Amino acid sequence: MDFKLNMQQELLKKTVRQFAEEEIAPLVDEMERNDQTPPELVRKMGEQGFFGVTAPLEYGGTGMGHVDRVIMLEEIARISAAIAMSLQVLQIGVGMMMEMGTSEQKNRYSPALAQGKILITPAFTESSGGSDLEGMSTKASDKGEYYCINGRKVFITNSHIADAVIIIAKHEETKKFGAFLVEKGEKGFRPGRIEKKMGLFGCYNGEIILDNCQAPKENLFGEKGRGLSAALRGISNYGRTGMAASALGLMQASLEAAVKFAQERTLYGKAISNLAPIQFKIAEIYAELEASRLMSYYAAWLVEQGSKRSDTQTAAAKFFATEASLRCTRKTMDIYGAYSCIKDYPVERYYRDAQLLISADGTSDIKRIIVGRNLTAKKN
Amino acid sequence: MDFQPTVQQDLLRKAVRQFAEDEIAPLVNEMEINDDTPLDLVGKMGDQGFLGVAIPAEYGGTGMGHLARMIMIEEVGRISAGIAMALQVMQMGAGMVVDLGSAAQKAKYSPLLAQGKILVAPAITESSGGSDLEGLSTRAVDEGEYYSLTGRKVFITNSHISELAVIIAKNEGGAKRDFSAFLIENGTEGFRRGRMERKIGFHGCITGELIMENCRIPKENLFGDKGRGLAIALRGINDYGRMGMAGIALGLMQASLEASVKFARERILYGKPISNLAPIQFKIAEIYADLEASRFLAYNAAWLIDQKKKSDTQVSSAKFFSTEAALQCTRKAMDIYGAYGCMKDYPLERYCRDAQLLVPADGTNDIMRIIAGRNLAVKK
Repeated sequence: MDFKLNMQQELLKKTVRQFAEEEIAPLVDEMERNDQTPPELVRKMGEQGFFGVTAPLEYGGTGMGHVDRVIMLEEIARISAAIAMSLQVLQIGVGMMMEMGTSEQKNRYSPALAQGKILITPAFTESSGGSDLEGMSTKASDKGEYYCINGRKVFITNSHIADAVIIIAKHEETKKFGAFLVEKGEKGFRPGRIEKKMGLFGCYNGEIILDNCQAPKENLFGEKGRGLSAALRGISNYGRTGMAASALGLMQASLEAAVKFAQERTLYGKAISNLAPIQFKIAEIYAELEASRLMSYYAAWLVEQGSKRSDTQTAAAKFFATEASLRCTRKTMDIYGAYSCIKDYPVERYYRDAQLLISADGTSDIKRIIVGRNLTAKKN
Repeated sequence: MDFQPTVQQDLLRKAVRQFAEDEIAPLVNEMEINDDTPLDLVGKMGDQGFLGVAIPAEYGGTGMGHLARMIMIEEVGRISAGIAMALQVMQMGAGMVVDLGSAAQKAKYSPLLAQGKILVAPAITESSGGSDLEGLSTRAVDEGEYYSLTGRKVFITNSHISELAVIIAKNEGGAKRDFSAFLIENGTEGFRRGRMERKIGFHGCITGELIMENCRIPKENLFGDKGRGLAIALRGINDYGRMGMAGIALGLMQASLEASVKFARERILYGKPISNLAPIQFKIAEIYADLEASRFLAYNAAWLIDQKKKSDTQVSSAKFFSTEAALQCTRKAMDIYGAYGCMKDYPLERYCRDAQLLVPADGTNDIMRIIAGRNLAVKK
């Protein structure tokens, strides 16, 4: 065991931190007001290779691993959890394409995809099902030359900025699930309402509507009938670790904000950092952050090793880290007292953003059920 | 980052697990009844080199380091937290002599220390102070040819089976923080063992008093430099004691997880194993996540000690986090067992009682939070 980041990871962390502080931080106030993803920022992140962090060099990516991706998202979320969310979901799109796309599809979208010039977002959830994938009601029917898709996807991250979406729909003929790549501009495809959320301002969340949408045959994504496992793999390998990484960023930001405030704020003639209740909270934030960080890195490391048995660990890291981020952001608010509720300080934003991590990519409840079921399964 | 244990670490875990299952498990019931440490078992652990795991080869140890020690304590703690406690304090005593003793002291006592043929009890705590080291009232008077010590040490692990004690005492007439450490051999005039405590758990591990009444100690038994007593005590407690408590917490959580999974698969309710029920899956998932989080925190802290890096923030955090987690996890395992959890035929109630003892030992968790919080927040 070696708990040290390697040189490449140290360098990546430093570079992304600098980018986030210089390029993202100045946009946060504006995003808090208009709740829009700045296209110029997306372009810059694309140039930096952020989207293709795990994509192979031959497809325009940087060929780094999943631990590197977690480090990157953590640093971005430290400044803006919304941008981290938007980015991590677009990375799911890149990752799914690299792992499941046909070589024709990969060549068609490379290297633009890894460079962020084409944005692909996954669209799985429906009002009748998300974690319950079987509850999805979007249907695809084989019309010979094309698939005709009908349905409505909800809570889709990047719904209104994506150039293409990966849709999971049930083949009407076989009743099995398939994955389909549908480009914006395809007949019968349109983004629907934009959701208003409690946090993650600057990250779009909305509907994708498929109304007799005609998807060309070559846009079948992954093997026919394997759509469900494709979706689960994308969520497990990218989505869960992405949410855990966002939680790390929020906890790191909370810890730094808490320490700074505790050193500056004076009560009874001394900095409040001298008071035991403040020290307690800071110690607890630190311990939960470090524990979450090591768990998340470990889960990403397992994914990177190509381990088939990372499902339990990614699910555990997801619920552990996101629940911890709720507690930690709340403790930082408590340290700030009334200042915490004032918009001039970022701590109420951290707290609101943390709540959105709980439900995203499978609720904490579902994660606990996955872990508990895996551990008690007879095959273990 | 590399989360893969080394071959040596894997082998050690396997060997210690087998030893614990073969040699310790059959003694647990007897220890629960008579609350004695089986000296025969101590001899066997000594023969196996358990006491010298972190002691360099030149002093008769195996020199495997603190991370290896953590793995060993975890595996012993999985079978008996009482024996793990006795062992970890023996390692602390031996380690302190080798790390901090004079050349003559090292020459005199090693390799017997590493082989467990001489047991050393570190004796720091008093009724008036423990974590508050300055509250210690044992006094050392320099009588020219010898030191005369008077005082009473309480809650001393292995008090009644050790041949040597490391005593921290205030230098009479010295400044506020002027403490020294002394080595006292059993049988020294004026030195005796006092009462044995009856505890809620850790049965099989002796806790008691060491009493000094005008105890005459040869000059050469000054341990470390004069006036360095507090630093010596803190170093031993940090590197060995707190890490040891975290190691035992891991063992108890691992045992609780295994017991929970086994019971959940076997126990039938509503015609099916209770492992199918969400509330049971939740508890098992939470035990697993808390265990993994604690394990990484503890391993990371032990790894830092091995790297000779500053570690007191990480060690304190690992101690309070993992021992609090152990309390929660052993309790959840009891809840899964229902009424069976309260029956002495099952080990669950023992795990729960043993976990409670981890909270005050080697510095209460309140003190741990204050140390970590102060290190993180107070401007130096």
